[in-house]
Amino acid sequence: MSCAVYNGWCPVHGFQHGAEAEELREGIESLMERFAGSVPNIELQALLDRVDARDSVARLDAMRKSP
Amino acid sequence: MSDVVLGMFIEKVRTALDLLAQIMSSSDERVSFATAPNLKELQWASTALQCISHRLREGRAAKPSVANAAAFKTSLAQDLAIMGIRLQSIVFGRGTGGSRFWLLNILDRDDCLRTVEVPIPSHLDSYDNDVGEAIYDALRKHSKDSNYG
Repeated sequence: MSCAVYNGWCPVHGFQHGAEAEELREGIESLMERFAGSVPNIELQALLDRVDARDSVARLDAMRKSP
Repeated sequence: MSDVVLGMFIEKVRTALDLLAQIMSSSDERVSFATAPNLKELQWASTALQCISHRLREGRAAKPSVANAAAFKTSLAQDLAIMGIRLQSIVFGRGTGGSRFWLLNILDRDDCLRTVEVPIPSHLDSYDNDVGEAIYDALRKHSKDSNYG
């Protein structure tokens, strides 16, 4: 039931697994750089809303389907 | 690392960041990366994301299955670190009737030393990636009442 994580586009889910982690990491690094060590909570929440939680949702979906 | 394990790691990072954003009660309130009491959570999230990215880059160049014990233990320790668990030692064992198991000594986030025994399915190689996932499952079941379950 596992999909290929490292081989680009996933035909089962319709996205590239792992891209979410990269986007979150880039977002955190950008916040740290833009706000010089002090980040407003609204910016942190906006980052979480902006980055589609596709890997997290796919995992929850897989757990629901497994016996 | 499978898509399910990857999703679990990212979900944990998201949950931690979301809790952090909620703790900061107003949009005017800022958290200092240098002085805030939430520093530990921010550092953990940042480190976890770096670990995930590192594992993804490493995985692109690696073979699909882990080929040896050293690589297996290294990647397992990195993945457990993302969950906030420090792997102290991992020992291979063989029980009566030829059953195989991994015996893990771990330090959880509360610095509690725990020992977890994980059976190795008979149809799998000891260092198979699927055995790694069996270890994650065992740790989740073992720690339902702990803060990393």
